[in-house]
Amino acid sequence: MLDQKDVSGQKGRVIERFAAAAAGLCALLLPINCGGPVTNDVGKRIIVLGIDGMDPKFLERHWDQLPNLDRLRREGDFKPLATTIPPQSPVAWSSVITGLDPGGHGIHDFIHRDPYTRRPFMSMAETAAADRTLEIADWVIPLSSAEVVRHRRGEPFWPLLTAAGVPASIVRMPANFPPMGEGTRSLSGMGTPDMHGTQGTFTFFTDDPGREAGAVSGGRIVQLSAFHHSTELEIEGPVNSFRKEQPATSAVLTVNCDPEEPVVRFDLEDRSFILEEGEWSGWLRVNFPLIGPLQSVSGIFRVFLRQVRPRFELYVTPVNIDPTSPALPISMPPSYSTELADAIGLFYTQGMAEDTSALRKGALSLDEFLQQSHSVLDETRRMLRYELARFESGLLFFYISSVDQNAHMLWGRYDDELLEIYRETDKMVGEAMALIDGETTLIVMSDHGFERFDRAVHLNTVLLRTGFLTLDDPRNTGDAELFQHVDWSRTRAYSMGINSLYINRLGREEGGIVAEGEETEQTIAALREALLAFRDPDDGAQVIEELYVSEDVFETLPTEFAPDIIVGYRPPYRSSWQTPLGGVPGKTVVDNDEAWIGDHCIAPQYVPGVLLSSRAIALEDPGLPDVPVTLLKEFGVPVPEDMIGRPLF
Amino acid sequence: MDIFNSLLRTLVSGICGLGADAHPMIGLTLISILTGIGMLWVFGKTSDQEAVSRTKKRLQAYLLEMRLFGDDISLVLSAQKKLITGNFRYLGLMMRPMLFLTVPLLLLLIHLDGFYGARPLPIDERAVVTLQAAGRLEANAPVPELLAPAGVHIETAGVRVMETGQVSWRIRAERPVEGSLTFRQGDTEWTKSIAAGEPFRYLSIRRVSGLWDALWHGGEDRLSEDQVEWIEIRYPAAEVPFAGIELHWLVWFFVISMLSAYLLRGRFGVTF
Ligand SMILES: [Zn+2]
Repeated sequence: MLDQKDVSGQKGRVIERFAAAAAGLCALLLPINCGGPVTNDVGKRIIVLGIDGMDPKFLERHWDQLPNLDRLRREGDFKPLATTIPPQSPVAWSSVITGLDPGGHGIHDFIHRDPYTRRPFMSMAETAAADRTLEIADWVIPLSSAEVVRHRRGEPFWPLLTAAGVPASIVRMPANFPPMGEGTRSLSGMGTPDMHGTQGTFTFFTDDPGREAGAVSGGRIVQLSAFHHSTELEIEGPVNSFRKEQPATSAVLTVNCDPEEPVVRFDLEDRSFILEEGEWSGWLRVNFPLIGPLQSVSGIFRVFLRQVRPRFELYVTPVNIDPTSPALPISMPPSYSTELADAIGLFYTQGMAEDTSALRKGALSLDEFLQQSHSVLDETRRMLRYELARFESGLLFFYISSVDQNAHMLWGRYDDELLEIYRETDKMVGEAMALIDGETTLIVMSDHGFERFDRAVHLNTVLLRTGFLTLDDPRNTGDAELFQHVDWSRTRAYSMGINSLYINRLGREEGGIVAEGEETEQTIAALREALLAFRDPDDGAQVIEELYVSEDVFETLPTEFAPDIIVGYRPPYRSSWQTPLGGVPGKTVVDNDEAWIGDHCIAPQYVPGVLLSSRAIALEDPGLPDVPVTLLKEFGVPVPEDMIGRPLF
Repeated sequence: MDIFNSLLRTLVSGICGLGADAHPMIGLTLISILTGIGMLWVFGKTSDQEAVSRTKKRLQAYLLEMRLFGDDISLVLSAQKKLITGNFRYLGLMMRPMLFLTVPLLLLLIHLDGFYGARPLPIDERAVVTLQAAGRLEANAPVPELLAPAGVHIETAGVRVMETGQVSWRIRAERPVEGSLTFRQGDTEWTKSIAAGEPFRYLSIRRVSGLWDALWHGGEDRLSEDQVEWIEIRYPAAEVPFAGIELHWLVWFFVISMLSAYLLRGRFGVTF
């Protein structure tokens, strides 16, 4: 009789609740004011909506369709906001976080490389296995918990606010995983992994024998053998770091198709749910056992029943970290993610929730991708509403991913669909505007804009053709990653990451050949000449607008992880998908025939962001590092000397 | 069995339903105190009260002995031995009343779980209702027709799971409902109660046809036809909130009933 479990799978977390209640009670008994020094500006409020990828050109074309943004511009102010070199989101947001340029904060590209081995890694954060372990038979018991390594340098601005007694909520700030800042309410955003430790790995199950199975970028396609009415699907969880061979853990999702109707009953653990063809499930919670039932981790996912017959097709979202029982630190204080989930329901915790990979790989159609996108937008709106309703004083920073992720798939070709996303975002801006008063300022900002991405540049192949990179055999061009056939003893430069160009330096890279000083200078000069002169073989158009030498363009001298040169493409060009991981295909420039049709990883002057404010902006040429400096100044908190920004107002 | 279940159901619904509109804790506290008193009464009637109080006094004496002669190791050891055997004796005296209490308590718990273990369907949330046929489904067997009361929307066709002989539908309550679902196949009809919306009330998760099953699923009278083994609605599991804490009802029940038995033991002249 005690075996009844609920439909949505929400089990009571008795102890946590009890602890939370006890903590709440204790807080009531304590004197209210137990923070640090309190400034006079605590009644003051600033809301910053960080809308990734909102483009000034698009706004100019559609003011009449975006009533709230239009009113904010008319009653307040609107200016383009200079972006970083290069205009990639982790790079740009790190400047917002630290008030430094990329030379200072050390995030230069989505992908960095180890200077010696040239091995790529995610610049935002990576999970490192526990450093001390105990091995018993097949089990590996971690003695210290696995931790997440953050590569960003510089101090975030919000701990300075909190230390001065200004409350701060930092919701979904990119490149802030694990979230920083004691005393802040903070939920991590872009850079937060899924339960696989990746930036999002979907699963697509199909019994279509024509579909190639295996890992694809951002997902995996699983070929099912033909089944009658029922079959069992394996939902992959995290690798079991407790086992020596580290197998992936998994949970079983049973599929029961009705013999005639296009409707399916799914059984997961002790629950069931039913979907018709073309329907999405809600969030499903699942436990992955690590050491038998003793230790398990919880994850959440949704499924989309794409088709029942003639071919069975099921899309499964990446398994996200469960905000009510997070396997990795995603919020500060740790109970904050649970509080949010209790208030608004379960939500995507992975950094970039819009599944652009599934659309690129044909696991979702454009229409289905838009459905998924709008459900992310729904969660975002609920979260913003919750935060606005409880916002009393200090700073509320709130990040919105939808415009950027959708613009990548819609820019220049599906204007109406993109406008719909802008409109939904405009409504959220309207909800924040309702709070504007004498004490409350609203800032709406983006990190960069957008351009078309029609032609893809295999930059390593350009280097090959211009004599800077040499292969062991000239016939060995192809998609092989990690410079498999590159002869380093005859290579002066290589490209890894989306905009990064490295000199193959003597004493830095393994087998590097270019000596420091004059030889490096000459190589850089030669590269500039060759790459700016490089033309698209199809129509003779200029491909690269500018090369930015790190040592010259940044105020702080960059670290060994920084690229020597940043490549500024001219639209509609961008580096190809093979370039970031060190591929050297045969052609130099090819058509971009992917679903990913808009981009911003180009020369910064083409893709500035936007800055809208409920107050007049005094600065003529505002840039990203000006935002944190302004926030500190507005709350009367001293600005650290190394921050390069200027106050906006 | 049906009459027996129905009596228990009426009793539990009557007591737990008191003030349920205001707060589920009112009824739960009441029934917990009554259970505490009931346990005291049974204990008083079925245990050897004299032996219990004698054994308790002796145990106290042994403890005192150990404290007083703490430096005499042989005396302490012998007191320790007596303490242990005394303890077993005490437990032995508890056995008889426990035996008398087990069956009524178990039945009570089963029915209390019917009231507090799950919540009615939340409005506008998807839920699954499943009919378990007695045996496998035939390949061309017709799906029973499902009829829902006003306010309950049947969202999908029935999914037949041939191997297990189950048919499942997805339903959604659009407003508070207290009624029954009807399953029709040819001339035969089966019904199953359904409830949606606040507050806590007696819910039947599974309506069964078997006699033994009915002991565990006593929320509704048994199904008369034996072509259907059971019909089930997956109600969401519930916790009872009080003072900002949400706990399974069983925790509240044991705390309150034990506490009231302890506090009232003098008034009932019961020693334990
Ligand atoms: Zn982007």
